[in-house]
Amino acid sequence: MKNFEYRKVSTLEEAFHLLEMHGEGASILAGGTDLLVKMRHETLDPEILIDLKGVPGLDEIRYEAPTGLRLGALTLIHALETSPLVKEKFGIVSQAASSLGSYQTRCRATLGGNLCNASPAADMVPALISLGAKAKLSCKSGDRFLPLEDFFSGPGRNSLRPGEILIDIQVPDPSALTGFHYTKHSIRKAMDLAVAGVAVVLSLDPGKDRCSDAKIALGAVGPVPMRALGAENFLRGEKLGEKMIAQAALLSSEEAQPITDIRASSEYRREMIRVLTYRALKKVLENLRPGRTIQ
Amino acid sequence: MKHPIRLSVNGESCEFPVEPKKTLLDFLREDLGLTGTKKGCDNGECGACTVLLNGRPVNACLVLAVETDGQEVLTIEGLADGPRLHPLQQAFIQQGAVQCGYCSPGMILTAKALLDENPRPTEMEVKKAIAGNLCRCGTYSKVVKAVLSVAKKNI
Amino acid sequence: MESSGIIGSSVPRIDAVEKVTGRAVYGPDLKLPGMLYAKVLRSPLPHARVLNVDTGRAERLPGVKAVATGKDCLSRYGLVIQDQSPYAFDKVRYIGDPVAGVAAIDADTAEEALKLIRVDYEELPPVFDPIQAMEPGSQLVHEDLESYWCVPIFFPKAGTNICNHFKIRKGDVEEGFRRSDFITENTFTTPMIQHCHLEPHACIAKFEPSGKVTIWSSTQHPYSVRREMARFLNLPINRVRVIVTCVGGGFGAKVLVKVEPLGLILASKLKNFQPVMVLLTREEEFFASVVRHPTLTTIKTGVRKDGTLMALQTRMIFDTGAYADAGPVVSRSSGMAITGPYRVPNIQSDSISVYTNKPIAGAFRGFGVPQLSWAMDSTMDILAEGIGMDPVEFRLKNALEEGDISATGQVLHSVGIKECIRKAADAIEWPQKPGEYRGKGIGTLYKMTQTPSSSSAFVKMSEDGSVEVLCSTVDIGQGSNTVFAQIAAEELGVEVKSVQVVSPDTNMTPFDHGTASSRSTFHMGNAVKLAAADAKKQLFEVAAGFFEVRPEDLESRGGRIFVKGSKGPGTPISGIPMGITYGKGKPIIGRGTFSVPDATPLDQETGQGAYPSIFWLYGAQCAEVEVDPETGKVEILRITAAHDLGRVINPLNCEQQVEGAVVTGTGIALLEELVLQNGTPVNRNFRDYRIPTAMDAPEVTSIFVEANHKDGPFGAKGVGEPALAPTAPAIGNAIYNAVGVRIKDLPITPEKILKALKEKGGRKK
Repeated sequence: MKNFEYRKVSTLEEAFHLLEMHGEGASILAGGTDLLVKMRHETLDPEILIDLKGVPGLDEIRYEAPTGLRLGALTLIHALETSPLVKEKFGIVSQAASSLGSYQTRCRATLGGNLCNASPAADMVPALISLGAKAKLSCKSGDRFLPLEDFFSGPGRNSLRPGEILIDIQVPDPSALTGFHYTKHSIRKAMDLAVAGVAVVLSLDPGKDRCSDAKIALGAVGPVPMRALGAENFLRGEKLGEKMIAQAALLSSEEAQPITDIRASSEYRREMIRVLTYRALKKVLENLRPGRTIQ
Repeated sequence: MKHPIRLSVNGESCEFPVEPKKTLLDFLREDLGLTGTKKGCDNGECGACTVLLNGRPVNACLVLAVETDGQEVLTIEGLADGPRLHPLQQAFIQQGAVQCGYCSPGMILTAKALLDENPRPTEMEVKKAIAGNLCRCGTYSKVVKAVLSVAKKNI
Repeated sequence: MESSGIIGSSVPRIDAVEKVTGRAVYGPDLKLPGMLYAKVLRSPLPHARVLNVDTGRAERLPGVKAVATGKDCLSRYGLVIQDQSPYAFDKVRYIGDPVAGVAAIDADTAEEALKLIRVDYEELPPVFDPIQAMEPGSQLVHEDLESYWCVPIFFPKAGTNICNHFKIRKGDVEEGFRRSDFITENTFTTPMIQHCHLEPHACIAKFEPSGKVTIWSSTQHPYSVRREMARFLNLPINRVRVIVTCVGGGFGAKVLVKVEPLGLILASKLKNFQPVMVLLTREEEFFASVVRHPTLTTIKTGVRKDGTLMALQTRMIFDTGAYADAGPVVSRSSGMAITGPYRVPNIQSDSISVYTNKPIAGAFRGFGVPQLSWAMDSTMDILAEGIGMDPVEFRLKNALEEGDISATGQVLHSVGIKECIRKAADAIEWPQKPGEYRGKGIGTLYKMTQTPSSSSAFVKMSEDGSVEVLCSTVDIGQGSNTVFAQIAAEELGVEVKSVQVVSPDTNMTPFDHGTASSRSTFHMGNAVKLAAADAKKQLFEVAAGFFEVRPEDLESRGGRIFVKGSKGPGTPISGIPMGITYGKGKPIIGRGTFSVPDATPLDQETGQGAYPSIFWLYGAQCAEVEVDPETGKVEILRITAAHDLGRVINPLNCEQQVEGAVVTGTGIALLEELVLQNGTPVNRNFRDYRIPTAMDAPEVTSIFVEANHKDGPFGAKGVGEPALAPTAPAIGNAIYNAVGVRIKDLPITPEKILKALKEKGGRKK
């Protein structure tokens, strides 16, 4: 690791100031579990690290009735995993958090860090995208909001403009009769990058017959995490049965853009998207309509 | 440029100037001479360097020493009370959870963090908690047994 | 006849307190005054001549105290074949081959200095495929192979890349096939994998002005390091001292000589005689240390309708990489076990170690037998299916028994394989079919131990009756310290807690061949037992004077001495005047040596010999798995492991060995593979090279079979390596029984299973 300067700031203004001063030479330090690895391998070489952990309020989990859940960028993954609030109303976020890394990583890594690192396999992303999450980005001159799926511009690249900091993620309240499931396929049972990840959020109409809304987000099968829009459109408004979810799963797999790497081949990843989407849809439906077999 | 940091290590206050790039792991081992925390990979992937930072388990190789200013660190050397072993340490010995011992400091501290947070974990919860502590000797089942034996005594 | 209940007792590890409190001192923990830190410049090319190494700028960097290159090493070392140089002086032979070393005041400075070294290479065509490497006219890795010294039981072939060829020729293999009713021929492979001991290789080297040198090392072989480095440095052996620091796992990666020469050459150049530490990074462990041999095994077998094995024709290629290291030993050890624990009358086998321009393959727990078990035990199931016989019944029919003659012509003693097979199968409720997509499978193991090899020990008794055992077996986590304390205590008649085992230091602890080959409980256990008996004899001679009886009228237990047949509490040993100062008696120092004097070598052409191994180890494991037919993922539901280890001295220790090895076995079966590009691993960290975590470890039931060995201490043999071998074939066979696909190339990944299922046209057979 090369030498660098370190500054722990206590306000966002200080951070903005340092970002302006150092431009591309500055990196934000949150949990450091991705950043320090990159610096050690010299794929990243900042001249200054700006430690945000001293800024109050950035690590809070808040719930406000009309807007929904607000997750501070410095919220620990472990907090997302264990927060009763998140588990109860936004369980898919806890599921995703629980699958990330190890106990040690989860007690140090932050939501903002996982998002800004922008790995195509980032564990937190499919779940949040499928819930319709929005990112709040702030800079000296003000704030802007971005749908989370627009936050990623390429493998390892996020859409932060120079001088901007990710502040929080807002997750709207899911409507009634909504179920969700996140499943991550990896070779080892723990501590593994996803070979493929699928998050499904499914809402039913009051009669529990038709799908009123569907969001299917895929991870690790494209340059950025993505939504299977075709599969979503296919399901929306339709009566849900065995054939429908099987077809949706197939569409979902066709929309994926997986690559072959040392972890898996693209064919296998594509097939896993199909299987995982099917299983996730089936599970969510069964939970929303207990006792009813899917035909 | 060195930063002065002041932190509590195993209950004792210490003050040191450190370079920003020095990890907590290297600080503990080299500057404080506390070599009980082990370096297995220096990449946050094996858990051998697990310490408790403000009570939570972290890989010390991925924490900069400068980040720990004003905070509390517990290493394996701080667990026993002089010659009196912590129940987890005793259980690890009794249940056969120690072979080469290189992963043991990290395992024990992770287990302590788990039991502090969740005094009566299930077997699966224990396995999940120690999933980040690699052991090539393969002691996992005995580690789980040791942790559960201590948990059983938690009322 | 033991009286005290110590043998067979689960005594907790006597060295565990230091480990759980973080006080045990491992190699990387040691810090000596003035210590310098070494870093190694490694070849970026798989095969090249080293034309020039320019170290001027590196030497001038402030903080650098010594720079070493091939110019400082003009001879070779190697305990099996002398083919290695600390820093390359003629060629580099794999990506990672050391070219230069720097010792500096800190690791960062050393690292900076490496960047200032310029090396001129002349690239040579590399050879990566061992089959190609065996072809006549192939690019040679070692042109001077013929001139290298080699242990006489190995047979490198001059002018080729073959560094050992072990053969067995027994009976008439063609006739055997002619008389067979079912013949099958298959090819199996195992990939390059890594030991992944959590403690990296570490050593410190320090010279003295008088010409003595001390090496602190995380090594399994202190006396091998001592002997070979003395020879290499041209020093008398008694001027080289090897002190073993606490070892954080070895698994074969720390046998023979490893990083010591790198530090020694640097240390030898220091005018101020500072100690130099060499510590490998995790990345270096993956590509520039030592790996397990990738193997390619073609195996043709014939069997009669009634289940009798008739013929075995095996060719096993071991890709040994750029240097021999323990390669020839691995092919020989595996070659000797070529039949598995079964009777086969007609054998033609060739176990060949081949040089390639890839990482050095060396000893790995099992010495080639795990790779063999993968091929042989998968084959046994194919044969069983071919004749419509149950795989367990088939194995029992052919399993070796006491008095049978082995593939190498040895009359076998202490043969527990049948009981192992039965017990492992019963424990998993064989043959009960477990349900859809579920299956059970069995694997076995058969392995020798390095013979001859010798061990020696001292047992010292102090005035207060407390005891020290001095021996050079290294406790690498297998619990040898505890077992020797038990043996000494039992033999002396004292309590285990009054016995300390001293850490190996060649200045103090006497000769041992090395901690490998599952040999320590047997060989060193015997040496310790003999030393303790010797100490007891001396003690009783002193005590006889005190009691005014003859020595043979005395006995001891629980730390007290009794006159035989008398009632009463006896006298504590501390009450016997051992006359260390003033008074009567004399110091008690027991001495024991154990060797195998009548071992026979094996014939070079036929692999036959009357007594090539003092004991053989046997084991059987059954696995029950469930396969997800849509993802190919395998869930291991449980494993039963029955191992014949002669006699259980410490049940808890034995469980730890078996369970622990099975965990690694499951990783080898399902997860582990070093992926190579241009002959070098690209997955060089724990994220991309996956070993089992606690979540991956299956439920294991350990069962011990005691086929007492007449020469073992209390009948014991060993259990260090065996449990690693049967796991992969048991899992592979279970998967076949679950979903009807047989993967022949490890690791068995979900992708391979899914592909095979799709090719098969879907679901269960």
